[in-house]
Amino acid sequence: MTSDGLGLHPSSGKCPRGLCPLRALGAQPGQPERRRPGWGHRTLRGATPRYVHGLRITRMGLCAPALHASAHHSAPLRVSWLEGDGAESAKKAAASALWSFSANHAQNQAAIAEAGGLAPLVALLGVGGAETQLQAAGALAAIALDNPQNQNTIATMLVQLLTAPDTPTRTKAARAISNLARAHTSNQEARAK
Amino acid sequence: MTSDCIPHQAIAGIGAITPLVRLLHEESTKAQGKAAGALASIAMGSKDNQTAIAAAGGIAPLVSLLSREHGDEVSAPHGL
Repeated sequence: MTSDGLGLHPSSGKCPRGLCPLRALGAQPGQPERRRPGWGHRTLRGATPRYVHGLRITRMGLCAPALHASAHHSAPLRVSWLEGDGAESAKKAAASALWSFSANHAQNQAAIAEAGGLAPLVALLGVGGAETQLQAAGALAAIALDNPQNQNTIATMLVQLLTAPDTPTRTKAARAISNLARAHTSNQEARAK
Repeated sequence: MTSDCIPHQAIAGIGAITPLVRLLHEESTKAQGKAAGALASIAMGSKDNQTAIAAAGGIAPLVSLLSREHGDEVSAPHGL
């Protein structure tokens, strides 16, 4: 069962209630439910972000959830989670802050682009944890809103990713565009209120 | 804007923006993340605060933070 019709979720069906926000974002939950049942819903409530983030970073970074079957759920995985957690949380907060700064603020939209913020935000769309992707997409959509120059820059970056030689990168680009389109709609609706 | 902006403006008004931006330059990613979260809240829905944070130099360290590769603390988690 593919709940959103995008066909981006090879591990669909693992989310018992079909509400997992990670799947809605195009993330690919691997095997974490073997250790913490219902982890996706826990994420929704924000109860155990530290644990979930670490797993996401590792899996998303490798882009191969199957590699993290039970044999790999050992010490090395935990180490990579611990090392990555602080940075991942900070990235998510930074993207969130840039989203707030740029919302309906033309000067800040331009200033973030001038500070070189677009490329790392686009990168986060493909490799960050699902919540980080959401924040990065929201920030990019806000930075691009009514700013043709920023729209052009972001679109160029995404097209480059879409035409990359390797399939994982192209897949990330497709996911990024999907996230961005949703975030754009959300920002437009927020502005209309 | 709406009345929920008032606390944010009050926080900004007592001079929180400058020390929060300073905190963004700390080595600790935890400190940076918390500062970024606070600034995000302060900026939300307040054009004055959005402008003030940018003027205080808040954008550049946040852009750097987006690309940061490693967290700072590696501590033993409970129950593992």
